[in-house]
Amino acid sequence: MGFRCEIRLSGAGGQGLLLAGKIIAEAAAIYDGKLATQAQSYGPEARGGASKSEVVISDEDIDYPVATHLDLLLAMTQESVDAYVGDVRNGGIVLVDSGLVDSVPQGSYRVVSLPISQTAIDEVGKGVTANLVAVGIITGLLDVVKAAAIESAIRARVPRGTEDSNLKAFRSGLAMAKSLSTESTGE
Amino acid sequence: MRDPFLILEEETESLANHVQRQLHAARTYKDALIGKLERRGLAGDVHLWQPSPDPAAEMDVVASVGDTLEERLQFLGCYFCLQFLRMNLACIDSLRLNLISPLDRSAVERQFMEQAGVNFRKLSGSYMKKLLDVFLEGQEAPAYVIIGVGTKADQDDIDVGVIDDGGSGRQRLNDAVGLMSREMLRYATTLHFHISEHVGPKGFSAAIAEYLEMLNKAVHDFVIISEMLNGALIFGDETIFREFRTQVVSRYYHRPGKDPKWHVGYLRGILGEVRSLIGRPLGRECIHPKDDGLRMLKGILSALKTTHGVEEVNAWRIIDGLQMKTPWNRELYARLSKALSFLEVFRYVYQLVVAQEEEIFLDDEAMQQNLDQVAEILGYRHVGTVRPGMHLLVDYYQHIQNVRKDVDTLSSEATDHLKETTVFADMFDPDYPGNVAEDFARRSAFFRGTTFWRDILEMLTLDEGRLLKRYLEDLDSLSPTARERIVESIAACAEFAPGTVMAFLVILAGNASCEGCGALFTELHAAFRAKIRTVPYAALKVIELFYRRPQLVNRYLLNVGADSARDLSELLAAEVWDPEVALWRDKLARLVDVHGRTSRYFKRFLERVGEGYPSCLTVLEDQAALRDTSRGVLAAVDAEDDPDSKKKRLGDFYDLEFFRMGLATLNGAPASQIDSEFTEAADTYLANLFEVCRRQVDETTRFRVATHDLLAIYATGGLGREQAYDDDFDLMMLLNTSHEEVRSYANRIAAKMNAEIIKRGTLPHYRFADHFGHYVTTLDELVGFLSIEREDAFVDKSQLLEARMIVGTQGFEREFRTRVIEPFVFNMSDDYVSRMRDEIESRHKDARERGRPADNVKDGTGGMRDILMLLLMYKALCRLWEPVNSRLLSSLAAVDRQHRSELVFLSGALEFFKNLRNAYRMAVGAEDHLRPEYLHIVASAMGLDYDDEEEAGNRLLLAYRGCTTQVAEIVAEAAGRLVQSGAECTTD
Repeated sequence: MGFRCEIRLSGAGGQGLLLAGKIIAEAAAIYDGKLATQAQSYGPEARGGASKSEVVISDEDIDYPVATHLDLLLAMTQESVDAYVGDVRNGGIVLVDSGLVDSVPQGSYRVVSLPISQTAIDEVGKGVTANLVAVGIITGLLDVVKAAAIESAIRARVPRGTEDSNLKAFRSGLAMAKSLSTESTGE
Repeated sequence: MRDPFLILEEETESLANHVQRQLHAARTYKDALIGKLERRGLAGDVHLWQPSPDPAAEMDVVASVGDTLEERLQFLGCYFCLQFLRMNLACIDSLRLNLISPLDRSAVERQFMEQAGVNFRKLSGSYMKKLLDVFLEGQEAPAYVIIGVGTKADQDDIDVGVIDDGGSGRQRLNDAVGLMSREMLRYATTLHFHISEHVGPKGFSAAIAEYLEMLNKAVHDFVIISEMLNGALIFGDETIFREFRTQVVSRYYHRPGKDPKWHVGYLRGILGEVRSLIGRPLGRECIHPKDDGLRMLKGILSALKTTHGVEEVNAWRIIDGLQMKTPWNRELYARLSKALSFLEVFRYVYQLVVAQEEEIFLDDEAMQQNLDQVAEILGYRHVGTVRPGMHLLVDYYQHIQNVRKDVDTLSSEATDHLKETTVFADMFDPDYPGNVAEDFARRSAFFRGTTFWRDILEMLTLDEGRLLKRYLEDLDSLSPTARERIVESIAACAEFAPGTVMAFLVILAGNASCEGCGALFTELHAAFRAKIRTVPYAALKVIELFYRRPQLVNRYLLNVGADSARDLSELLAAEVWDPEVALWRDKLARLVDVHGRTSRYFKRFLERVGEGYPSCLTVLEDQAALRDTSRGVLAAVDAEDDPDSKKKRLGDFYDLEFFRMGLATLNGAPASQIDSEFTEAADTYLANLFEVCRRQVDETTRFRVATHDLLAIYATGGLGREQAYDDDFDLMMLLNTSHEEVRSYANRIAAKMNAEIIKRGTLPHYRFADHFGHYVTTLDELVGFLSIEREDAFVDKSQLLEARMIVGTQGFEREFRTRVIEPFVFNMSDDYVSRMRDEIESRHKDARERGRPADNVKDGTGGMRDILMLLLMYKALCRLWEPVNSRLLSSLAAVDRQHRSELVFLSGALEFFKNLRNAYRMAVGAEDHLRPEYLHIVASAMGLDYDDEEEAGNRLLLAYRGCTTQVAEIVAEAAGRLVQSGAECTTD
């Protein structure tokens, strides 16, 4: 039986989560030889400030594009953790921006709380690249899509002249995830 | 001959990075495809390097040369990519050519966008159809239709709906659509299935019956309905599509005689969205054509097409249709059509050559260059120092402004339509047989989640609130449980439309005298406060509401207590991501803060300014902007035609200035500054008011009475002393003639001024009016009055000594001083100072005997009055004419060197008292007795911050009491000295 990895990126409008979802899906499907779908919130909730993008990656045909048992939930606001943490499967990951999310309800999942937005500001000088810092962390945590594929997808998605800063954001996130893995190994 | 792929690669360098995906696929599979086509002798049947006239037919050929399914898919993907790149390159070339010197830019833009849509739909539709054919080959599947529900030319993603006939083999269709979606993501673009995701079983497609089942229950997802209303057939079974339009879509159109709930429900959803978008602030670091203008424009078009029965799905054609149906809006629609063309073509070209993103950040040079590139394609050129991108942005904001204004106008028309067609219309009838409260709650359940209720709110206030009264009567007749349920259901609207609940609360508060309003206000407000805490993104919703309707938020805050203000403050403490929203969050937080720490006295002005000039509520921190507004209003007085409008404007000027200075006071501005500004504003107001009232009297009498050197207005009391924020204006209207006609004339002016000043909430007191029985006093009357010896004459003399001319001539001033001040005050100064000393002693003794705490900042022992009385004694003895304030004390200190330190101390004390009094008046109340429990707020306003609130209040009280003790001693000693030895008035 093949694998199916479900990711939900959630937060507020303007945090670049739709772009992040597209990048992960395109990286998997175009540059990494996997199958992927990407869906995003369109309904009234999206117009009320919330933003949600879902990516399903698999090595088999995907018959239903909506994520229901999340392997990873990225939450960039407190509201999005509260709304979606219940959809995370046992042993899944809840990744939150420590600067924007105060608390994560307890559950049988791993909580990773990192200063995503602050890293974007500190490392790149642009808060708007927080979405790509998050993509870097997700890439490192899940190890489902190759980093090189993600970089190709980023290059193909961002405006000309901004590739370096966006890649820098991604690599900062990737390094954060790797340092977490190292810490875990160290334990 | 050069490799055509290399040429293609070079040419696509002008396109955005995302075409790398298509280049990657083409590069990978082109050689195999060409090889197979040539081997089969089919190379001449397929256009690989030029745009194809018939991509569907050529895809059949391409698919036929693949030996395996995988190869067929790779060849189809490769062919699509090559055609896609060629199509876009041709597109840009064509646009450049047509926009070099267009006669009608908008027409070119529209034509271009429509053609781009046709081209892309033709190519992508053919590809999707071919893929489905491949995946369904030889398999039984239900009949189906694929509809496009988004913008036809959009290449970023394709929004589609899949409708089937519900027959057998559905899973196979679903699998095939899934595979088609996979291939589209690889080679073309992402497919989004928003409609299907929400309807029917888990999968990509749904049947008409499933749509009906889902949409019969609720109407909250106006996004789905908009997509259905604007759905266009891409390919598939036309019968299903027709059935879909007849059975599902047509219900959302206005159909007289049929149940309007679907139509009304859709309007409540989409109009709420449109109003919300109009109310969103424009970004400072980026532009967003969709959110800034396009989405609201398409939203209102979608709403109005259902209202007027326009069946078109293309936005320009909807506009054409609406122009025909509502010819009175022809110009407005023409403007919207131009804006639509501009915004669509700009967004399209940006996505084609820069990035497939909606947000366009302009915060660095690379992005500015990208914008220039887009602008040049759109025909903009460098002009002098101005780059093409800047020219484009100027047009961008002009169109955005037009869209926001025109959409606002159209949404008002849609509101009128809603009032006529609403499912609640029968309840507006006074003879409605049911229970309005109960029936409204029941029927409105269908509309849960929609956000537009303006029509109902407006109806509630019509006919002196007839509907509201009926609603309350019917609500009162229900059981407590039923009533509670209804109140909860109204409060639940806060989840989607907090503004609607706030507006209802404001209506209830505004009808406090009506039976039941107060009770419902209390219950609903409690439920609302509880609900809003649980609403996701409540802060964002309230901030947007404030941006859109600051007046409503201000009205709400005026009607609720400090607890609610605190609730809002806590809500606003939540993290806000968007810097623009954060900016508005801070503005709202300032308003909430001002509500939370100001007196009713100040709130009178907050209310009036909020009603008349709501934009001022958004710049509370900006004294310069507030001053600009008040100056603008003052300048507009002359432009008004009739006296009443002039007086209204003048009143507004006074209110705005008071409001501005109040805010400055709360932010710690010193009394010396506030007194000076207040005096200038009040003098300007009174002098202008006199002129307007005089002209008004002149018009009624049809002649003007000459008053040169005969009439003057003096301010006495606080305003005479140039002291801010007194409860009243003490005025003297003096005449230097006893001519009855002049007196009558002046009295009529005074009466008109009086009526106007009262509206500002400040009582005018005309000194000596009570004695003589009319507003105006002649100098002869005054001389006669002062010639009679009276015990309390020093009171009147003090008023005269404080008098400061506001209207009048130097000649009058000389006359006043010569006939009144010199003989009755200066020449009788010994008697005056003696009586003043007695009064001071008597007041101190009285306070001691009564044991009153000296916590009255004005009249308490050692308070302001002590110092002011001492100053009046100096004035009388030294024959001075300056206003009684700290400046005079400083001048005296320079002269009376022997008592310099005492006078300097009194000067500082007077400033301290004034600072305290000003802050107290703005923060606590317009009273002079200080309440210790509120002094921490005053301390904060005075900038005396301590960690502990209680300590701040106590310290301020101690400082005040310490100061009054010293003042009392100094004043008592000095008053005695002045009586004994006179004053040192000049330096030797």
